[in-house]
Amino acid sequence: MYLNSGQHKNQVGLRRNFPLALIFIFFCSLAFSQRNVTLSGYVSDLESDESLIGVSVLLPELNTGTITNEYGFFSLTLPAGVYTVQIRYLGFETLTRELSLNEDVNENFELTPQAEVLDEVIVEENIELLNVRNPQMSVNKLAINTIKKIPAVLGEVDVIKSITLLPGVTNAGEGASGFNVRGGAADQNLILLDEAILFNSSHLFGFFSVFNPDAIKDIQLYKGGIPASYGGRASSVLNIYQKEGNRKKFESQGGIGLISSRLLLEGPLKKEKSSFLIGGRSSYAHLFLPLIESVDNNKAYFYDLNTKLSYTLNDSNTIYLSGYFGRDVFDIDNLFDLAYGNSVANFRWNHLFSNKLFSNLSLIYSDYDYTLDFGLAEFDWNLGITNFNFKYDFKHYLNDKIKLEYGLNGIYYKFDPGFIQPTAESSPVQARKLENKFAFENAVYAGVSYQLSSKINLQAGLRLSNFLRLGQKMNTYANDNPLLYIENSQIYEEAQPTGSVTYSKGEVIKSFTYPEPRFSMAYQLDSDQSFKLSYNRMAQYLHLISNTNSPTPIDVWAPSGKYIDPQLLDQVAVGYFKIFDNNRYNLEVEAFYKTIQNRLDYIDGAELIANDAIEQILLTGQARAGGLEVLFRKNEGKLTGWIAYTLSRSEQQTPGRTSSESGINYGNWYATPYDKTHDISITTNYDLNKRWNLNANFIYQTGQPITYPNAQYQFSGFSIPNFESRNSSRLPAYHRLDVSAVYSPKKRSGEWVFGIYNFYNRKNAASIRFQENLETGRNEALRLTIFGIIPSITYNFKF
Amino acid sequence: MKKNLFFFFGLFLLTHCEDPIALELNDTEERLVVEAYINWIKETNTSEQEVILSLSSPYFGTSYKTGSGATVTIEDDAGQLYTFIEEEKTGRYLTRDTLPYVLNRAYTLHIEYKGEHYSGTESLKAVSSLNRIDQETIDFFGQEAIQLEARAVDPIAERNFSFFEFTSEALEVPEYNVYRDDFNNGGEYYGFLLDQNLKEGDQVRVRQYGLSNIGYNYWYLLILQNTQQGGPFQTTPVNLLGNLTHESNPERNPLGYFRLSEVSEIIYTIN
Repeated sequence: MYLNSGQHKNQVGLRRNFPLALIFIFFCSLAFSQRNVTLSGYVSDLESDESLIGVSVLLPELNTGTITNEYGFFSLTLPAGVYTVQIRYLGFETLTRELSLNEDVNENFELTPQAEVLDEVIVEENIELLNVRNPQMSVNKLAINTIKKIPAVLGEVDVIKSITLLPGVTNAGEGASGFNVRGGAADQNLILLDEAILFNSSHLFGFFSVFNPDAIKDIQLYKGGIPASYGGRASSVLNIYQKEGNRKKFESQGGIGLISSRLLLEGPLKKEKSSFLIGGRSSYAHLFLPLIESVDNNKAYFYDLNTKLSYTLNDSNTIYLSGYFGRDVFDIDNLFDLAYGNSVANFRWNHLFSNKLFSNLSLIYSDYDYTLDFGLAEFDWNLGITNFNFKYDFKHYLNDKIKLEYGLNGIYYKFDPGFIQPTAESSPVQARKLENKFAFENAVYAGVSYQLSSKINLQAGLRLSNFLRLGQKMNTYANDNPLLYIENSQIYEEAQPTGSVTYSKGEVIKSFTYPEPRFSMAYQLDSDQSFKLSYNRMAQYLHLISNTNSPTPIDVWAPSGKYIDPQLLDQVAVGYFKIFDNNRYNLEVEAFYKTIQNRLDYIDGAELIANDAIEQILLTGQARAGGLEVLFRKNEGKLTGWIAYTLSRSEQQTPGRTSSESGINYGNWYATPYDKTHDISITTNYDLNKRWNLNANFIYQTGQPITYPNAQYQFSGFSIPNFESRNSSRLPAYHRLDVSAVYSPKKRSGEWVFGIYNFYNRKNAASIRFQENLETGRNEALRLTIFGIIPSITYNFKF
Repeated sequence: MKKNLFFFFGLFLLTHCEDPIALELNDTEERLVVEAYINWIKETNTSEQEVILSLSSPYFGTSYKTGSGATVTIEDDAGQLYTFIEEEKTGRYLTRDTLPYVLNRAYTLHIEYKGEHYSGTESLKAVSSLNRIDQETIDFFGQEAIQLEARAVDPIAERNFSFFEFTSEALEVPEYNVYRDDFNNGGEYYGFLLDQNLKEGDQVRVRQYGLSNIGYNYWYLLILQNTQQGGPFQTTPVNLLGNLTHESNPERNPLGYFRLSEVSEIIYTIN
């Protein structure tokens, strides 16, 4: 239309023909009637065809834009016209194109990785314009290249340890499994690997994570302001996206380290249409154990395997098939054998219903199991959690102001708390099958992102979740009370079951339904700064019961049911965001407050192992946490990095069920085991020259809470400590400095990573225990230090 | 068995390192500690009946006080009183008249100390007899160790709780296991000792003491928290709450336990 109007004008002007003038006016009015067109497509890496997540697609002339979704897809509806489109993504060269949009255009963009020594910039929220105005807050993204640079213990790149360098994220102690977000417990993190739920994120009791860094494309952590599309865990969502595999050429990369090695192969099956990826990692330190006589019959190792296949049928359909299999094995001198791990198989189908409606269907099978073969005590204990997950998610890019997200989700669980069987005839243990538990968790959600005005952007959603605890054989108790309280001695005692009742498999024992509203808003103060606020409510139906201070893989996952209610969290967060000097620096300050209802804690002295009836040892209470997070980043230049500071308090209260019961800690609030008042992380990366790249990070944290003894007494030949109120003292402060140097002799073939963990050999107390020194007869406090100074060398290759 | 699990997890962490550290603690005021036991030994029909009183002290302290000058009596459910007399300011109180061997009879211990009154109730709990001790030699982390299994059979009718005790001059410290019949009702079970210091000819006194449910809870925690090897999987330590109370103030409840047990004993010589 525009192209023609010029001609019309000239002709009409020359002829002064009235009917033609009318026709002209008619056409002109049509031209000015603001017809909308949609520009949509995928953004990918030019070299590998790997889709890119979170890429900014900008139209500066219209002061609008959008970002690509998890599959690299974007859709923007705007008035017809000719525009300059800018595609920007940190780590890649900006692409600028002039496009004339007279009708719907489907255009895929390929970005070239930046030519200079890349990776020195840290990928966080992408690009100032959208970062500042996007109401999504409390989210941090880390590119895998950044994570690979962070010095790690024994040279093993660790995704989970890297996120603890961000504000608001900490862990329960060195070598502890799991991580804590904003004062939340380790079971409150939803860990997704390509949308599949993982129950355990670490190998070797927390020393290493289950994620092979070579197979990962991107990670994203939501600490608050969680969109309605996620649910099931109260405190955070950790999204780990695997690469699809290079669709243009065959590539392999890997690394050889002190403790483990890895190898990844990827390539096209059919050029530009489909690809595969297969990566494996295995530790081998145990091969050296036979050299040490006292431990020569021991084995401790882990391995994992990541696989993925992707196939694009046509412009509207792509299929992915991925799998993960990881295992930890311990074999201690024929005394006990322990093996555990996650297995996941995942099928996904991306389908474009139109250039505005993107959908993804996922069918996932996941299994977490462990087997303990206790030779010395002559029994086997097998247990696990199996789940089948169906998800259908829609992203509807309605127009340039409104985007909708809706979908549904169903997960079927089978909890197998264990099967105990004797392994020798003389074993005192009788074979016993602990009752399987079944549940069905499902949800439906809808959310909208709406640009209310030029200054205000909103995101609002509602998730309606439901949990059905299904039939099994269960104990019955007098007065339906599984936990008794003996008033005189202030002791809780398991109630004796009065019998049992069997519900059939499909029967619903108990049902829970909760609406979970989600809301976030950004108010743009000017082009460089904004103010954001968010509220979210989350319902969590599974609980991790642990009798130790830091979670171990033998901790028990229990579903909500007749005696256990779901955890309900409400979180409010406010934040201030500012970028300086065109995003050379940026600053994020956030304050949050959360309350959690129905937080479980076990009664004192609870026996968790092989406990069939968890309700006999649990009390319900509440938890709350609040804090302030500051993140300051330098994104460009030879020196890049960030400083993160978190000030927070996390505590819980478990009162008795009536006023005469003591509860835990006499019903007083006590610090959670992962409460850390101050948490400072400084991460730096310096590009010395083309060959050398240096990194350092420094961490300082207030010591973890601990319960100290405040008296001792003699009883039955023992010298026994008596303890103060739960968690009222602190371990000594934790701090350390890690450094590493990366040497690339020839670009693109290999690099050497030299690292020193805990550079000044600080003896950080992982725990302190108290005991009588048998030689001197005096009591002493013993500090357990896990990692002193540890140098490492890793060789990474790529060809 | 659960104790062993923690023991092994702690042991295998070969890379860790432990060292003593100086700390400031918030020590509390003294509390009364009561170690009261009535043991009736099946095999010899003899009894050990004693109440030992002491006071708690600061954690890093090196001495402790005895609880002298108290009035100690035990009353049975029929109102009969047994008086305990202190042995010469040692804090040990012995009975004049022996409490009889009647299973499941309830007794209340009364203590009057420094103007305050304390009491607690328990009953004499039966135990199944130790049938035999099985001995084996095991290769434990490269060294030879003697393993003893003290076997008994659980009566199917009631809920049974007990603890095993292995004492010997050859052992650095006595060894304890607790037992409950939840996994094993009616079957054979054993108490377990594994030690590298035992040699042929060493004598080990093996005993099994009957416990009530509350007594089991107490001994389970006592053994879990005072004999485990530690490591990063520490359980949150919890104060042992016995079965004795202060007349009015729960914060001054005595530490310790009042136990009445039937005991089965075997004196075993290592082959």
